[in-house]
This record gives sequence, C-alpha cells and structure tokens, in this order.
Amino acid sequence: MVSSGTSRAAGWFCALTPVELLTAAGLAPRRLLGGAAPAAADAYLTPNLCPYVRSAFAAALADEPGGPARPPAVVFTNSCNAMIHLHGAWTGHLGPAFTHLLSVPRHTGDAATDFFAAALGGLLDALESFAGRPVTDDDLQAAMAACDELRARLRALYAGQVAAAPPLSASHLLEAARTAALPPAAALAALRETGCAQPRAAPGGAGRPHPHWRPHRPRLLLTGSVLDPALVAAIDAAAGAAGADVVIDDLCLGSRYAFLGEEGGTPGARGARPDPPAGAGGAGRDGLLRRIARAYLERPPCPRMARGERREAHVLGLLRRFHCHGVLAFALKFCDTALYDQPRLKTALAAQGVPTLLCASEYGAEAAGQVATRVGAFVEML
Amino acid sequence: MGTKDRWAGLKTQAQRAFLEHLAPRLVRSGLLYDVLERLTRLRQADYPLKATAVLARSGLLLARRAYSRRYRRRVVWTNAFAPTEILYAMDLLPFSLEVAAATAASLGLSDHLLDVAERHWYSSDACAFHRAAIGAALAGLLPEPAALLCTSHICDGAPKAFARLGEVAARPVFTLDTPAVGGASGTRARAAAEAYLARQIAEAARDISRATGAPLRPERLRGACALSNEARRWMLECAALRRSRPAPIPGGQAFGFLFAMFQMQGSAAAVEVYRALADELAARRREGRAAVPRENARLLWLHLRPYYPARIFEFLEQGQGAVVTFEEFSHVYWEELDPHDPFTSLARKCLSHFGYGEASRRALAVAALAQEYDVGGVIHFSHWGCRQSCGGVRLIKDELRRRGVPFLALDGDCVDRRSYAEGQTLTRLAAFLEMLGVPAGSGGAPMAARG
Repeated sequence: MVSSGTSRAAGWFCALTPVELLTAAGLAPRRLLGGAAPAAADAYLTPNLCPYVRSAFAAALADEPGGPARPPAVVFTNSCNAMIHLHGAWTGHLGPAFTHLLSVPRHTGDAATDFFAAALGGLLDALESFAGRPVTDDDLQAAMAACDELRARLRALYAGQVAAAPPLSASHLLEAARTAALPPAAALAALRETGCAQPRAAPGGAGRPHPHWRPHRPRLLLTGSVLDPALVAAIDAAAGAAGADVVIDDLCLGSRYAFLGEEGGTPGARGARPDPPAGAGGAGRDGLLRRIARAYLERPPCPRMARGERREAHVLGLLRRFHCHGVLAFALKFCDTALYDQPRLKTALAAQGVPTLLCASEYGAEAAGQVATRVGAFVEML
Repeated sequence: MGTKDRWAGLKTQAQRAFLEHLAPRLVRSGLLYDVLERLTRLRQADYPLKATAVLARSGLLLARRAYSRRYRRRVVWTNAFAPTEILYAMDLLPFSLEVAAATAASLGLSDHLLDVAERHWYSSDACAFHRAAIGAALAGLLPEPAALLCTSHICDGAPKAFARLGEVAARPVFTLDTPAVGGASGTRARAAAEAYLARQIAEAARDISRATGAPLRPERLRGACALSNEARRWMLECAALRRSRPAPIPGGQAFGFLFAMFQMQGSAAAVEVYRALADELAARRREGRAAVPRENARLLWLHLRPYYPARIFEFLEQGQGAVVTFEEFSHVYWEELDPHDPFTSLARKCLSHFGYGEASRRALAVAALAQEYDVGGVIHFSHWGCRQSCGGVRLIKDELRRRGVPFLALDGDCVDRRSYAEGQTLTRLAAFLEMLGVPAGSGGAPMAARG
C-alpha cells in the first residue's frame, strides 16, 4: 500500500498499458524507456531477448529502489514473451512494492473487448488496494479526459507534418511524443516547454518548416516497435544527410500513442455515453473500462496484434496521408512479432510501388554508423 | 578445384535437385509409405521400445493420409498446443508444423528449408522450428491444408509464423488468442479469460467445419474429449512409472512420444500409443530392466532437444549413465476435460500450461518435477530463438538453487544444425556431470564408435 512517504510513481512499458487507470488511482505514471547497456542485464535475462527489455532491466538494476528507473509500482503487459520475462525478472529480483501483469488481447472485436475490460477491472482492483483508496467513476473520467487532451495535442502536432514543409523533424516530433512517457499534466507542461504546445509550432515561429528541411526531398515513414530516441535521432540524421526527411512515425513511442481513439472514439470523449458492458444495462465503472478497452484494442496496431492486414492498411494510410515516398521498417533484434511482419509488409508495400528498407537493430544508437550507411544507400535508391 | 571439392559440389547440386524437384513428389507418393510401413513391421524388433513401433506406425499412417489426395480437404496445420480434440472430432487430420520441422531436421533437410526461409526475408534470429516450417511450405513439402489452427501460447512466434504460413498456403488461419492471467489478476479476470478463449475455440471449430465441409457433431466432440482423457490417464501412468529408480527407459527414447502429445490428443491412436508405453514401462519395472546398466545420475530435461543427429543423449545416458528420467514437455499439467462442456474445458487446458503467463509458474513446476523424479540435476536446452523458454532460465535456476538442485543451461538449436558445436556441447555436459559426481567414462554402456 502507498504510504505517505512512498513515491506515487508507477512505471509502465508497453503502449497498450492503459495509463488512464494509473492516473485515476492517484499514481504518477511514467514510461520506463531504458537507456542502460542491455548487457548489464544478461545475468538475469538471456542475451537473445529484446534489447529494450534488457535495457530497461539494466537501468533498474543500476538504480536505487524508488528511483526513476525503478519505481515502487510497475505495470507490465503480456505484449510479448520478452515483456512477460521482464515481469518475472523484475518481480523476482527487484522486489517492488507493486507489480501487475496485464493480459492484453491480440484480437479486436466484442469478445476481446469484454475480456480486456474484465482484465482492466482486475488491474484497477489491484491499484486500489495498492493506493489504499477506491477509484471513483469521476476519477476515471477525469483521467480519461486528461489523457485524451494530451493525445489531442500530440495529434495536432502530427497533423502539421502533412504540410509540404513539415514543421518538425522526426527527432523533434518524437521528442514531443515522448512527453507521453510522463503523467498527463506533466506531459502537457513539457510540451509547452518544448515549444510544441500549439499546432505547427516550430523553432522560428508558427508555420515554418524545421531548420533542416529542404524542398523536393523524399518523404519517409519510419515504422517499427519500440526504438530508443537516440536511435531515432540517428536515423533522422542519416536520412537528412542523405537528402530525405522522416516526416511521420509509426512507433510505440510515437504516433501509436497519439492516434489512439482517433478513428474509433477517444476513451474520454466529452458527451459520449460510456459504453455499457456487454449483456448488461448499466454504465458506470464497467462502461468506462469497456470504453478504454475498446479504444486501446482498436488503436493503430503494432506488430504484436493479430490480423496483420490491419497494420498494413494503417501503414498504407499513413503513407497516403503524409505523402511519403518510402518506408524505413526498423525491428528490434529478437523482436519476433516485428521480424515476422517485415516480409509481409515489404511485399505489400512493393505491390503498391513503395520502396521499403528492412532493418533489425539494437535498442540504442550503438549501430548509428551502420544505420547511416543503410539509410543513405536506401535514400540514394529513391 | 580438386576431385574432393568437385564431388562435394556435385553432391550439393544433387541434394538441391532432389529437394526442389523430387522430394515434393516423393512425400506424396503412396509407395513411399508402403515401403516405410513394411520396413517398420519388418524391423519391429529393432525398435528400442515396442511402443515406439506403435508410435511409428501411427505417425506413418497420419503422414500417408495427410499427403494423399483422398484427404485433401481434411488436413489442418497446427502448432504444438492447438486443441487437436476439435479436429479429431471432425475426422480432420492435425499436422503439427513443429513436429514436421523436427522430422525434417532428423532427415537432414533443415539446412535447405532454413535457407529457403531466409531467402524470403525471414530473420535467422527467429525460432528455427517455425522458419523450417515456413521453408517447407515455400518448398512445397507440406501437405496442402484446408485451414490452419494455432494458439498464441506459449510463444509469440507461432501466431505470426502461422499468419505467414496462411498466406503461403492461401488458407484461413484461426488464431486462438490465449490470455496470460496470473494470480494477481483476480477471479473475474480469470473467469473472463476462460470465457474469451472458450468462445474462440467454439468459433474456430465452427469456422473450420465450414471451411472443410466436415460436420462438427456434439457426440463426436464428446468422444474426442473422452479419448483425450483416456490418453491423459495413460500419460499419467507412464509419468508415474518413470519415477522408478532406476529409470526404466532412457530419456532419449522417450522424446519421440512428444509427437503424440503435440499432434494426437483426442484420437484413438494416442490412447493406443500411451497404453503400449505404459504396459511396457510396467513390464520393465517388474522385470527389473533399467534404462542403462548402471544409473550414475538422474536428470530432468527442460524444453526440447536437437532433432538432427547429435550425440548428446548417447553421451549422457549410454556413455555416462546419467539418465534423463523425465522431460518437461511430457508433464501432464491439465485437468480432465469435461466432454459435456468441451470448449470451456479445452480453454482451461490451454490456460493451465505452466510455461505461459507469469514466469514463476514454470520455475515452480520445474522444481516440483525435479523433486518428484528425485533428480540430481536439471538441464535446460536453450533453443536459440525460443524467447518464451530461454527468457525465464534465471528464475528456474534460482528456484532450483534454493532447493539445492544443480542446473545447466545448454545453448543450442533444436533444428538448425549449422549452429551445433558437438565438442563444446559435450564438454559442457561432461563438466556438469563431474559437478554431480559422475566419474568420467563411467557409463552404463560403451558409446557407439563414430562414423
């Protein structure tokens, strides 16, 4: 239970984690982005496991209990085997006050939503017990509204990238999107500080392209799962040096968070009636959880979700919407879900005449040089 | 280029020509199965266990049917933990792709299949079982399916590989999304998980019935569940008999029966196989026949084994008298099915797999097995590309250490022999056995000479 002297920080990893529930429980959700050398975790997690997971665990090992990389409460998802093992290692070796393994469906639809809503109920019960106070419907709705506002701000930034002269470089865009790693109120404040609180904001004033943009350069989409911001910066720099611009991302640390609810309705949309639970006539908590469940399942799909055609359709949609000429598809090494998706994605994009570069990389920017070479060669080909 | 190199080159070309042009036809030839069945009968006495001969005959019959034109619309590609009961209920033929990959490895075909997959952009970091299956599908070596059925447990790779396989075969894929619900999830979430999975199984059964034209009759489904339960009872009998000291059969021989575990549950053949094995184990125990002449150590084996020729078990068991008394995947972890509520009980079966969900489940299950089989050590074969298995090795090691059980994580690959280094592997095993107090070269029987 959270005592008065205990930090309220609650760590999370996967973009499928419903941050709304953590916020509603009075905790301060913080996305754990790793950043330590993965090899430091090798004594606990096999080296041929996701480098992001290993990096996050290594960062926790190096930190004090309650520190930024090792908060007292941590929520995991069963997004992949690596994440399940991170839960095992974290619970077994770091002994935090609270952990929870949330089961997230791979399917969408009513049956999956029903199950996920029940799973969210289990998480909420556990959070209430940890926080030592009940979570009311008002708490939930306020949290949903706060997260929606953050996403709306981020979506407005993304919308600006449609312009022929995109106002934000990929690095800047991802830096803004990374604010979603913070609790919603802090994230909004951080957005303001980065100068990204308003649409089309950019260094130099509204409506102007970012400093490295030049006309008539190929526009690229960067897709993948979780990429270290330093690696994204390296990719961005490599593309820029080769004469192209990464204008939009399809990443867990980026647009997948921002675009949640864009098409299917945001969890906290004002005026919307809570989705009643299947088979019941009531609203209230169950309805709110069901709405959150549906929004998360129907958000832009990551490689982990079933029905690869949804992801394909989403990527093609992004290409059209943001007028892209090519795709950089980065998978983390040992990310089975992304690695199996890559051949299909490449084939599907080739059928549409869209050139695609497939890469597998470590989480950090250690391979920046190799990345630069490959991206450079790809851009030359465009 | 010397003569030797020239011959090597010709051999490679001949192998390639065989694999690309002849092999797809050969596996579909009834004559092949006639010959193999005859050989099996003639050489029955050569099988180490009578039950192995029963298993071999069942496997051949299944393969013959799967590749024959008569059963064209009856084959369903499955993964290791798919609920095959629903398929047998419809007289359909489950064809386990992991078993196929293992078979290909044992026949020396996996190099080619992995190469095919890699030429189609499949990463060499992914599990070789699934890559080899994809390679086999691309090479036309698999029987044409009517549908594909897989579960998302216990690994991420299976549903993704099956999605790709469905595209290669141009057939519908039914993926059973298996939730991972741990102890902290709450009763409601666990009940919801069961309901969610049961509904998926029921829908998959209905849709496969439509896709294949095979009727799904409640009485047939009850029958398949009843057969699954009967086989389960025999599996438990076998598991109990294998606790005997000394161990009645070597683990190297017992591994073959995983074919029945992964592919035959719900069939009469599985009952026949496990009954035969139980009878034989009981007879061996009565007669005092042991796996090896001198049992120097008892081991528990985790995950699977190399399926290409490798001397690991020969070294351990015949060479050093260190018997693998039991293997993890033979563990019966599920309750009896309720034939009158098949979908819910099949869902419970899937959800109860100890290797899925919180990693501590597996660690505790392994520790319990180590105690049950009174083993002196545990070996985990860390198959490259198997994230679900290798990721939890440290937890298992720590749990066993708390109980004073020595543990060895042995790196390797079950299907890709290109990354197998026999010398290193045997050296590590020898060092482990030394730690267990097994004197070098003290085995129950001399190892067969190489070559």
